[in-house]
Amino acid sequence: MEKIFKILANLKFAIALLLLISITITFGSIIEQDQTLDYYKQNYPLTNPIGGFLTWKVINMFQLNHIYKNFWFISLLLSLGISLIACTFFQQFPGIKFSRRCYFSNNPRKTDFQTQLKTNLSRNIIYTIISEGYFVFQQKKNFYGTKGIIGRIAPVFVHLSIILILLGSIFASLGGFNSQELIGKGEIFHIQNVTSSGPLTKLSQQAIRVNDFWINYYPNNKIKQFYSNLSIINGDGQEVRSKTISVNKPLIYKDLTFYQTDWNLLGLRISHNNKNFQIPVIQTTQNLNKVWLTWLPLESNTSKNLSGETIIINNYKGTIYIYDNNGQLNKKIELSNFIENKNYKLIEFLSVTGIQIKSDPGILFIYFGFGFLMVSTILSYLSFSQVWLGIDYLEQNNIKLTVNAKTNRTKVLLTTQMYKITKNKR
Amino acid sequence: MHTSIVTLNLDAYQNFLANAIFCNLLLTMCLYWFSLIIVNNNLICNLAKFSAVNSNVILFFYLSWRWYNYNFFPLSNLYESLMFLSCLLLFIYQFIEFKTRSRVIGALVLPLIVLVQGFASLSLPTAMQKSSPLVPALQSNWLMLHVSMMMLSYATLLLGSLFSILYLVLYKDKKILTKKSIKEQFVEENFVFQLTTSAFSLNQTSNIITEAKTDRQRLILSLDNWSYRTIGIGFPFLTMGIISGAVWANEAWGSYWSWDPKETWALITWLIFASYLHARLTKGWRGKRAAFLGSFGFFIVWVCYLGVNFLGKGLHSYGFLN
Repeated sequence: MEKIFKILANLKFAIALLLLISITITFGSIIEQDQTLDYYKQNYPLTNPIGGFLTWKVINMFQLNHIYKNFWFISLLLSLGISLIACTFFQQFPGIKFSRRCYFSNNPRKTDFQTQLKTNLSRNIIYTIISEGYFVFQQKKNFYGTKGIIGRIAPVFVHLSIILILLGSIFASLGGFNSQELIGKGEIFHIQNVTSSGPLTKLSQQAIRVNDFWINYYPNNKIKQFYSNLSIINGDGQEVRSKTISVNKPLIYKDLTFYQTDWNLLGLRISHNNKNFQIPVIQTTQNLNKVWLTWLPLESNTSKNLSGETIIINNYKGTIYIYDNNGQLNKKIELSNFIENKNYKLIEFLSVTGIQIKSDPGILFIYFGFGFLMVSTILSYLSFSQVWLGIDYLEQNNIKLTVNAKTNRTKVLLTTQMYKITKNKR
Repeated sequence: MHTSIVTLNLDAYQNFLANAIFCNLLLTMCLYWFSLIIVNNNLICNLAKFSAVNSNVILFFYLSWRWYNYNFFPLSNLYESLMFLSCLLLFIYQFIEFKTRSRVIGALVLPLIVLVQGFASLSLPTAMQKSSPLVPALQSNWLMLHVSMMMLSYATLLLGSLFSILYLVLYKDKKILTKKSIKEQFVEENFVFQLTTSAFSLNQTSNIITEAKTDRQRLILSLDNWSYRTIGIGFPFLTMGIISGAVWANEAWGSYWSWDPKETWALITWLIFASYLHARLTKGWRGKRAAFLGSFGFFIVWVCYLGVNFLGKGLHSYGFLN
């Protein structure tokens, strides 16, 4: 068992694992994910394999069509996690233990800087080293100084935070859910259309009301922002919380988060001789912009033939364009104006707002992991330096001072520093 | 009427400024190369440094002007991000140059900056150089943190991996470093190099130097060190960039990681440089093998920064689609 952990803790194994994961996700970014089998049959035919091997059969066999969710990728990530834990216990902790111990030595090995000098100013040198930020310890004729032990500890936290993030994502996939709803203005809804959930998920029964939905536009008619005003309703039908959400400004209530994601137009409400009716609209796109079409049948006194007008809507500003049967633009109508004569009046746009509702039990772990990871990767940049001074007493108050220094990162800086310190003391 | 005149003027100046920056950088590059050929002339070297500072200042003002004029952080499209990248590259290389006092860095980095500038000002269509209003998803304060962190990490990682590439190129000459004594030499060389470059004369006092080393040997070993240190600081920047992006994505549409191609490639970059940093810790892997990973990272960063956009998928398309 310990042998297996030793292998898992091995640095070369870890590097190989990192590279393997990067190769895997490279495939994931090239091959389109979560498509139908027919799609892969069409794009990765057996007769003409891409790169000499990539056919739909290969994709199917290795489950490259949902690479980020298949079992071998998950097990790669898990082994990365285990490797991180193993490395922390078998490599990093012993390393820190070793660095925290005062390590007095007359003749430390493999140092980055070594020199001997005769001087009568040994105290001076030690003071200089202390003023450079070293913690200096003494044992008889030997001195030992360390600086930047945090640079030695921080990598442990890098590993721990990655483990925390992996843990958080496991919790999220077990107990979280994601749902997308299209809700009309004024409607009350529950979570229904769940797009993803885990085996331990408990769906919330929270009732929510969409009070309003509107869009702000730039002068060039491009959409600036979508807004939905939501209310959280309790069991008695009372409003508990209310907030206007927009993209980048979600509503967070207990474990639920509500995001503004989408919108659509369903129809127009029109009044005719004080009777209201609704006509549906069909959505299409033009130059990546949403456009809606509909047909308004009109009463005709002159003939029994069907007559009416085509209505085109291309934004949510309250304007519609009316075209006649020949496809000529008839006129442009604002909200609460009359479409035709004094009979047909445009009352309302029937819009739905796209709300995404998410619950993520792992988010706290992930955010803590993120926070620790950011701080600890920066602190890992600090170098851990050690200095050894050995004193041999010579005659006439003179001493022979042996100076050794070692660091794990700033080797050049350390050698210059030590050179400067020792140079003037000769 | 009034506003149209103002924007017209600005456009004219923008063109002028962009051209001025490009020419200035081209001049700086030539000066650096000359300073490598004519080694004993400090004038050319100083001129090159001055010219680099000059173009950095113009570039900085150009970007600030765009920020002031368009009212959002000048990182909203590809053109601005390329400008920002070269501004950062200039700044970081000057910092490293100041620290190490080597002209090689300037000569190495400036071609890259000239290429970036050339691509931004000459080959991008004018429509893409203009600033356009932000789509709803980008209207967040996270934009500034996320994008500037990503650009900062790209710049530092590109520099660091460029050192690795040069290391590999020069390393090919087997005579320079014998396999046997590489470790001892590493220690000594760093010492010797730093002392010679740091302008105190060591040659008569040191008890370490046993044989005279060539400039090239010194350069190779210091390249290795610069590469490690530069990538070492670029890596936390990349971490912060990715994390701020993830937090932002969670804020905007409720998923901190959706395996969007850009995200995936940022993670690939992160993994490659993580393995570089770990390779440096492994005995026997520092030097050539680590440098190989580092130079590989150079291409990965470019794929991540530009290559992914040509897929045209996802949120990070920089307007290639439209």
